[in-house]
Amino acid sequence: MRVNGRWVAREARAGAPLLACLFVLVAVLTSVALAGPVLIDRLSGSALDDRVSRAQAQGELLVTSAVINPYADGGFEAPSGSGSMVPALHKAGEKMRAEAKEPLRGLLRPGPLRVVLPPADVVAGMPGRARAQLSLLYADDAPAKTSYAQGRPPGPPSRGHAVEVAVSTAVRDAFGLTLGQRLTLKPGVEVTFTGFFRLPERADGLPLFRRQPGLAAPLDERISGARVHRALAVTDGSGVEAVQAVAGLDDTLVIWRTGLDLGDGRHGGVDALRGAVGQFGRDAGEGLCPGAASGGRCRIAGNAFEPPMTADDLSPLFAEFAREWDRARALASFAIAGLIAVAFATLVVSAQLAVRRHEAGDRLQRARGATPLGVALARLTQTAPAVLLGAAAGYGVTVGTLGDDVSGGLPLTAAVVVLAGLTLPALTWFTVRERRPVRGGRAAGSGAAGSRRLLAESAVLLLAVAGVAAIRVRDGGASGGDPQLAATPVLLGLATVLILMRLYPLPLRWLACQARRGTVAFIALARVGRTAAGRTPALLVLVLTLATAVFGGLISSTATEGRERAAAWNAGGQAAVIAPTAEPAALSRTPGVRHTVVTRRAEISLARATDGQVRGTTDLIGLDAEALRAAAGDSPPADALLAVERRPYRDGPVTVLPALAFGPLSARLGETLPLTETLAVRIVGELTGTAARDPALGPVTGAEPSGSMLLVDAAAFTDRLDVEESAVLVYGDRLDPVALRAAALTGVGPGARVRVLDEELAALRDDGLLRAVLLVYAAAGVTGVLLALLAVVLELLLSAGERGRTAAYLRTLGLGSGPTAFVHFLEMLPMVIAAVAGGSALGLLLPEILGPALPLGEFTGGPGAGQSTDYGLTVLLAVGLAALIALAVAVETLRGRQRALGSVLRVGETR
Amino acid sequence: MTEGARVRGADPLIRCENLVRIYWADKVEVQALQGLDLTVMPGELLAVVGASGSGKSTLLGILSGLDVPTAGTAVVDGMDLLTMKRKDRIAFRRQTVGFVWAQTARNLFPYLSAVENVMLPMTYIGMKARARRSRAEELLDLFGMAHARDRRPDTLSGGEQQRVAIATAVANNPRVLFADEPTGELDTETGTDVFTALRRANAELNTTIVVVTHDPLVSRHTRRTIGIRNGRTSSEVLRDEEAQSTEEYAVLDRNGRLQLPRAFTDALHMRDRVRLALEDDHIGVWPQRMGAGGGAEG
Repeated sequence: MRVNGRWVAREARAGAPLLACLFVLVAVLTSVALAGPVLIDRLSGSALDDRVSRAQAQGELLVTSAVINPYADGGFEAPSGSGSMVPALHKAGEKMRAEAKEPLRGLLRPGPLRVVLPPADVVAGMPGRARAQLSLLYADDAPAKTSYAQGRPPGPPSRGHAVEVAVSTAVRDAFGLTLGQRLTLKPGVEVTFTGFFRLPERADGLPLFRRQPGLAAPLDERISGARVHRALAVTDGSGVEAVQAVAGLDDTLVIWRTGLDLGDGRHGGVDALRGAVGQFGRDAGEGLCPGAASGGRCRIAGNAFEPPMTADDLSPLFAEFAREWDRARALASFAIAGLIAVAFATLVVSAQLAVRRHEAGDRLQRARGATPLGVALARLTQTAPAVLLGAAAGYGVTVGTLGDDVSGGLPLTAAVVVLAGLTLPALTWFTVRERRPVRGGRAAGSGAAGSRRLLAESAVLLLAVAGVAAIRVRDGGASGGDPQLAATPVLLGLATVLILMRLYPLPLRWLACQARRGTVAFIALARVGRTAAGRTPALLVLVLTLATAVFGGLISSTATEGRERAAAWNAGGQAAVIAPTAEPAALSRTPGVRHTVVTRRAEISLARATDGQVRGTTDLIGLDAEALRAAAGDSPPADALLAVERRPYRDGPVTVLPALAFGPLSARLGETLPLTETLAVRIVGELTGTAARDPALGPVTGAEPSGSMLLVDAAAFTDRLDVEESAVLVYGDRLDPVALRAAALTGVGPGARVRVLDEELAALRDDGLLRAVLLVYAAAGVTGVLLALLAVVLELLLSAGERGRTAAYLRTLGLGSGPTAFVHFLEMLPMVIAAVAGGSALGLLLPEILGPALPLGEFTGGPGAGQSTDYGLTVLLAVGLAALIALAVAVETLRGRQRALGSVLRVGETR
Repeated sequence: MTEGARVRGADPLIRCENLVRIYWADKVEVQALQGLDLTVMPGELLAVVGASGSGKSTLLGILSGLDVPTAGTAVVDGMDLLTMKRKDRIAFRRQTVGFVWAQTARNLFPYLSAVENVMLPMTYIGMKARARRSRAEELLDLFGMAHARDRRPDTLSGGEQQRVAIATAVANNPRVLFADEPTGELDTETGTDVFTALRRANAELNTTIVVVTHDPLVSRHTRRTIGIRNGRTSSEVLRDEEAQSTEEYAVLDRNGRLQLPRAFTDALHMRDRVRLALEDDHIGVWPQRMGAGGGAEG
């Protein structure tokens, strides 16, 4: 079998436009296959960086702390107050970070160092009779000079002089302090106040004030039955040394905060980070105190260190991110797989056109004695340069854009390029293959062809069903980089198209029969009813493109609603002030606040009351139903509570709280369950799931709604119940978050957390994870639309000859050029309608079809986040695609009108 | 036999016996061939004529190996077309048969020159390049196209294209060349040139030529013309160029059936049934109402 290269090259020159099309398609396929996995990983890095940064805005997530005690041991230097301690501690922090394993080591950055002395009683100089304690704090991130309302920041103490300290204006006012005032702390430390600093606007959001609430305002505590006001004062590092030198205070706490800077995301991924972070505690301990594990002593700057402990808030963040990213990557991979399928289908359409153009020559070769394989090889020789150049171009563009780390996508890319390169030769072989002449008449032939088609279609449908079923039943659903998931868009798209190809010609043939009057409708419908099967690849392109776009829109709308739910759940109302001691009275006078609603939560055990049938703790939630209805209008939990007799009553010595039950306890309707000897709860009704997931219950409940809950009137909460959490929901038209925070600080205490609905929503919207997924879908959508347009143009070119002959023939019969053009439009219309209907339906049904394999609510957040469909967007996408196709048809029709009749109608010409 | 033709043995080159071909077209059964008998000896130049729908093209399709009959026998150069394997079919097309179609554009590759088109089939049988070129130029010269050997088909006239097509079809020295209305798209003068080329192929190369044609010019210049009617061979016309005589015969198949010319039956109003009478040296055929003596029955 010989292939003459020169002759092949000449044939290739004649088909240059199609080769150019092949070049572009292979370049696109190569780029997508190569860049897809890399881009997804890069987006993951960016999303993780974003997640870590937002979490670290609340404070560093790796906190190593160690208790130190000054020592004076023979041969060891006692603390001298020389100012060497803080630098030595910083150096110790460097050593800890240097011990971290890669890839963590290069990503760690030092956070603020803090040294917290234990609280000491104020024994003299304190105005009033209240017992007070002051704890001294050195902090790298202490308020700067510009924050001071009076005085200056504390400096190093002079020998023999009092230790310089500074407190907040709130502490100043609470303790009645003045500038320069001296206090004596037990055991004999004199401090002098050199300044008073203002609290920043969002002090509750700053790590220093959130972790050390006593720095913002005094804390009221009960110690041995007595009420004690406890506050923190900042001092210089030398001040800490001076206090130790004087008082020899034990149990000073040193806190190293370590942050993570993920940079450009090239850190090997979240799994590599998790491993290194997981053992950071051990590594940090080894860095701080080498050999301490084997009994060695740890001494730094005159202090003996106990083995440090590391609080790791990064690992849970990484674990949650890894889980969410796995799902997100599955979604993104789905889009990439769909795009590759669209590009392939477009390639098949272009191959169909190429085969049609070469068919006469190929059949002549066969008649002259060429084998089918020889003809196919000649076609391969002709197209190989375009394929290889396209692959090289795609590779070059991808590497140039993304850098060299694309090796992970090479196997897939190679497979894609080989498949793409073989498509046209394979189709050529199929067209010119030696068909066994059918004996017994054409009936047998057409019957066999029909059976083969039915068999092939059945096989595809079966594969699609089996593939989807396999993914649905798999544990854990689909995960990123899943080959089974990657094949799903192709199978589902093919299945949809095959069903459409069977269904949509039927009404057309019926309509053609009904179109007795008029040539246009009859001819158009009759033609399209019989030529539907040849348009499978083009229809696949359109269906998959629209399905991907609609699915992306569905993800976006579901995520948007999920975020809104999550923000509403976190904030409860327009804002919430959360603290165990939160009371409405402290906040209702804040400017902008019109309504306040109190909610409380206690945890109760019903094990004894139910003979052990109800295990664990149950949330007992109190809600001011009347206030909630007044503030928020329709509220399911308020309505439910107001519909029953909710006031507590006495049954002998027992106070009975009427409650609505949600979860397993709702089966105990009518039962009275004793909590203590004097307190019981009676289940008087059931709380629906909607009511249990109402945002009003969010701030006291936590991230997720309780699975088992009892709802009572807030007034029923008595001193007999230990309140775990309280929240005051705040409503108002012009809420001022700054004023609210200030009121919370002074009215509720420095431990109060303030959540504002708008701020919660803004924070959730910035989440990089979903942004990454939506970006992939947007890019896939745009590229898919361009490919769809190309497929439509190729499809039009494929049928251009027949349409041209039909048009020319109709015009010779006297039909005007306008109606003739309308014939073309009418011919494409059914395919467009089928594509729009099929693509939209597939996109909207994908979540149902794939079920648990691709859960959308997984990372959109919010309790009860379900699928949300933006029908407006779906309609817009469908209409947009249809309009683009109509434009392409219109342009081609206009071009067709310019062809002369004679050049189109060639007597005696056969195909 | 034409002058110069060599008989390659006494066996017919093409033998069809009771050839039947039935196919379905839009749910309608079409009996294209209804028991056709045909024998073609090696070296013949044969014309096949018939009205549209008589089965000429179907016969050509079967003999070229593109189609398989529903029943009957078709043997070309000893190869049974019904039982031929795939490999045999390819070899059959390369070296046993050649084709020329009516559409001039369909016979040649537009991007190859005349000599390259003729050389193309020789690449399939492994002929060396020098030998290919030499033979191609020889063939083009034989058919009067040597001057246009480096020209592309779109620069040639219709007749020139068909002559190059004939050269291409005989490039591998096939036993038989089938031509399906080779002069269909051409004017009379050009058609004559093409037919002359066919005759030259028959005479110089000893290629058996079977021409399906409507053109009386072609049929008038072949020694033997087969008429097909209703899927059967109905008539044969034998011409003797030397004696300038033409004899037309009705074909009698092995079952004794023959087709009476329509002109005869219409003239005597013969329909449905006729009466036969055996005479000493002929068989008389009378319409139903006429007596054996030729007079009307009383």
